[in-house]
Amino acid sequence: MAVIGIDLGTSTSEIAVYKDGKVIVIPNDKGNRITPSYVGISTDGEMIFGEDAKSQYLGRPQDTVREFKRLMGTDESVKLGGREYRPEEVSALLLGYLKGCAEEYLKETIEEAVITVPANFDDNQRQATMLAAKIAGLKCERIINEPTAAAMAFGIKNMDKDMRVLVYDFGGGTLDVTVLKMFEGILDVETSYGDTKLGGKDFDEKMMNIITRKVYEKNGVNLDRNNLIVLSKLKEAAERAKIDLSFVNETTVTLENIVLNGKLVNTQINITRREFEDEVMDLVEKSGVVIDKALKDKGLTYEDIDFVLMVGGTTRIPVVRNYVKNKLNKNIRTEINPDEAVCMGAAIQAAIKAGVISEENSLVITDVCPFNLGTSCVTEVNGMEVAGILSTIIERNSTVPITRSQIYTTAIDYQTEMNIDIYQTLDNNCIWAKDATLIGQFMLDNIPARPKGEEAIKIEYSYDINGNIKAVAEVLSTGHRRQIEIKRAINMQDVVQNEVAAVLDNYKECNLYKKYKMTIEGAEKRLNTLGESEIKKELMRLLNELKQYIIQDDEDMANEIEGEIIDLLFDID
Amino acid sequence: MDILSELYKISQLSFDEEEASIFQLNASLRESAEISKMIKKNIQKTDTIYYKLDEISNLNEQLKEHTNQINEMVKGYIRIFDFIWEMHRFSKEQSPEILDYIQSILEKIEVEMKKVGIFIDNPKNQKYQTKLHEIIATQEVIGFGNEIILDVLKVGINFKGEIIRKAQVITNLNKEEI
Repeated sequence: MAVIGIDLGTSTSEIAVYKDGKVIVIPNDKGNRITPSYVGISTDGEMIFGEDAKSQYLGRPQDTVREFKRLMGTDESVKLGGREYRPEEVSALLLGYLKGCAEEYLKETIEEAVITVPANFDDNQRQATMLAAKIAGLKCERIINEPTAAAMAFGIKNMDKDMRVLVYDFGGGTLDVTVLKMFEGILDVETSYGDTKLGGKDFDEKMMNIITRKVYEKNGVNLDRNNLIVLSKLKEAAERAKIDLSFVNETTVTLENIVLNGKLVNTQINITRREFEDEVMDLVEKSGVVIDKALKDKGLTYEDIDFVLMVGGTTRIPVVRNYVKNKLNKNIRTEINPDEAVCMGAAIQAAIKAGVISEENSLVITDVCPFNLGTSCVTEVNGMEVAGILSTIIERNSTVPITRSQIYTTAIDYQTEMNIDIYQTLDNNCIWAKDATLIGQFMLDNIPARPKGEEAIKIEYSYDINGNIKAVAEVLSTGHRRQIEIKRAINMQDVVQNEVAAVLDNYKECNLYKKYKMTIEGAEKRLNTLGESEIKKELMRLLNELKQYIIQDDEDMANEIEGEIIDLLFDID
Repeated sequence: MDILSELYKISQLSFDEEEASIFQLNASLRESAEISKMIKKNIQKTDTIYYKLDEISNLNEQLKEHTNQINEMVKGYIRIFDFIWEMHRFSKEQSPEILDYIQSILEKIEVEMKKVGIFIDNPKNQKYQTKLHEIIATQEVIGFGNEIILDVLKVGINFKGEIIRKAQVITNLNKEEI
């Protein structure tokens, strides 16, 4: 069964599959390889997607949605046909459509996909994407960063070379710059930076300005952009001229049946590549600032980059390519269709996952944790204790999977409980926990009551390759631990309530364990059959206490607690 | 033990086996002959198939060429119709004196287009339909229902039952009805 790769983009989406030794980009049901990321309800009441939904967007905004990717992972809702949807539900509808197109093309059922997300997507957004796939009936165990996918599309042929690669992804509406390091076949994302308001549409606007100016110089009249026919012809001519100038040094723009001075005329103007390049140079230079910021974030220089991969339709423009090439003084690679590189990489990753491409013969991806992960703590500043300070445990851009820990101490005398908050933030300079996003919390109990600062608590965070976070808090003197796992494939609303029962792994290695093994296993079995209730909570509490006394080798107390557990189990029955 | 009788038995046995072998040989020769005939027939059939495949391949090439020519013809008709349509729109606003003349040219072209299977969809004043129309802009005009098509910038084109271009339209956006 095929596993497909999906580039679920803000403005367009693409699907691909690895088959018979090559990547095939799958067309949608209209025969197009690029699908606008639009979802709508038609005048006949049917769900519509892609081109059809886009064609009704302006006049039926109540029945059409777009750019819902920007809302992924937020609590905002999307209105469609009088109903409110969560962003992931709308994404799921689009994913379902793309799945259907792939099934129709491949003539087989598709149950699994690898989906790409922007490198700067936070944990909530990644979880929402995986949830969308689940709703669409797609198993999605792996989501990968868009630049990583693009590099895979290029890099699969270069796995024997160790190098650092800059992925310059200049699309229709956004620019993303990512640095990847390839080392002995392992692909590692080092840093990523972007500009969400810079894209190919800005270049079109510049070309429209040139045409308008030249028509004015020739005819002495301004093109009326409020006239929809004029505007539509101007847009069409600008796009064509932009494409032409990627191949020739001069092009002729013909505007037919344009109303000028109350007359219907045909007008022709010539535009040179040089004129276009002069006009767009400020945009191109803006992209250079993004490159510099991305490199600076990781302390890299141009010399650290071996070559550049050009991704996104805007990189077809020669001045863009040459600017990047000259700025970095590096070779640029353009052999992959820049519109399709991301979905092609996703398809390659899907093939690796499905075992079609063996992992030994392919690239291994490692990504970075895209944000700082920390906890709230009390810190002494100038002799004063200040609460609510964010203490970072895993730093942004750390290679994943990663596990890091910090030791803290109790903040007040005879403190027996500690609230552990898990925060994430993109801001490297974030000081206050309240300025970061709270993504989970749990309570560490059973801290021995001692004067403040005398009990050490270890807090350990792990971030795996799929973006799952695990936080463990441990009382070092007793080994008593509690943990929380924040998994992707679940609804974000459930995340903070997903505190798992205390896991005291150490107790199994203690001398007393064997004595209470039967009681513990029996109680745990019974626990699984109970619904949420006070009795369940009480049983959990007693079990944790029993494990705690096993660790402390306190047989008397363990006996007492065991008795209480048995009594409780009798009461339940 | 009667050696002679045993020898006789043995000689009889070998004779029978030889006879059986001859029968088998004959049968196998007949079978081979049949197979040989079948192979010959199949070779002839294969030759015919190859010949037919060549013919199909040539026909496919011709079909592709014809399809390209037809597509070019359809595009040409559409380009001419669009050009005159724009003149028609302009004359309605600026030169009403030539409106009837341009209207008649449009009608004549439309008749010719119909003959080759190209049908024009001019949905002005109709209710918007997702499958047939593309909204380029909206206006708010009181007195018109929501999603009524106020203007047609480009007509829709249907060729042999397939929509090859949606009509590009301006619809009424009646916010009260939404």
